[in-house]
Amino acid sequence: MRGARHQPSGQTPSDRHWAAVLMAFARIGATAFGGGSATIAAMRQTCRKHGWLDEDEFLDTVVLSRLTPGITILAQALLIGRSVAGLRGMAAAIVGMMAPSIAITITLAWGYVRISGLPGAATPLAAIAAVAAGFAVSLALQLLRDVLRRDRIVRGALLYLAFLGLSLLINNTLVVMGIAAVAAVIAPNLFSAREVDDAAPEADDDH
Amino acid sequence: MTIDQVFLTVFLASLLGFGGLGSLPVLRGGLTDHGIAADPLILQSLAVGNISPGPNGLYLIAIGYFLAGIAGAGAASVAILLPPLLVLVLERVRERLIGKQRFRACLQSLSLAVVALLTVSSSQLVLHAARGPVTIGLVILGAVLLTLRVPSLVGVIAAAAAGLLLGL
Repeated sequence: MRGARHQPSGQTPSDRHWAAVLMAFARIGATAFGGGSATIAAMRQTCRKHGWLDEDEFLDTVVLSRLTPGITILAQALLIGRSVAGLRGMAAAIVGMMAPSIAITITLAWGYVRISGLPGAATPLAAIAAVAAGFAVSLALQLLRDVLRRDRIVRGALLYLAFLGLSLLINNTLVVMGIAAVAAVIAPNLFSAREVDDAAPEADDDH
Repeated sequence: MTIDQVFLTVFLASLLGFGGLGSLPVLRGGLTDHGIAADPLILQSLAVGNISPGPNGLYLIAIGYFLAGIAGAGAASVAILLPPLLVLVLERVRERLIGKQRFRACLQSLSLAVVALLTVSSSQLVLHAARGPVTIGLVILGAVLLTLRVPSLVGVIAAAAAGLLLGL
């Protein structure tokens, strides 16, 4: 990643103050309400404000993190933290981002458990569950949009429908994913153009 | 579930999922394999996770808490942190891998499979949650609000108020 090698003013990463990374990511972790897009926007703004990464370097972190399994924003935070202050920056970015989010999530979950024990709570909690199901539908649609954007839309849509049929037929997630991996190895032309497409994905994905 | 089981279930779900809710299908399968009613648990966790700051994937921490308290939340936090560390390996090998058609094909194929599986999981969550006209309306409300990027807290407060006022 270019950002990791970018050392303005002759500074090494260890010259930078990792505490600045910790504080910046703690602010993001505590205030970036709105899921992945809000968090990416906040990280982008922070990188610009502190002059940590330019636009190309930031997009580089987006592309690399999109290739990574798990919560891609955590991967991106690792890359940004390391490019600013090396290993200590990595640790600071993750601790900074995760600590407030974990604390708030646990507090809310604790409150949910307490409220669910109260008389008359079942009805509003069922209503909240219904809204949460709507959130899941919206997030699934956003993810579908992001995946289809990467390649030819019609081909992607047809493959998506094929996998959807497979998912309905086979009630085993790991088997479906295994079939997807084997199919890509056997027939890569079905899934990806032969030439390398370096177009960076947009940084508004809700990951 | 024991702490070990919470860790392994959340770790596998996170490792095999790409994107915010990409972990949901594997998580649902893992919970069901342990004899846990997955849908109500996931819906509670999504409600908590969506009104918390940070990435959507942090709903897995709420799952950990609901399964095994603070220790479960801690185990889930560690479990979701490990897969993103692979970005450091990917960074080293990406120049070699990114040009390989099979690598890109695998990523695209797995992403499409995850989204297809997520479509099925989300549909099952909707079927579980939508029990009548009011809850069907609330499912639609939740989807529309999040698509329009209205803060999730607004949807949760509106749902709680509707539940209190209208009954279901």
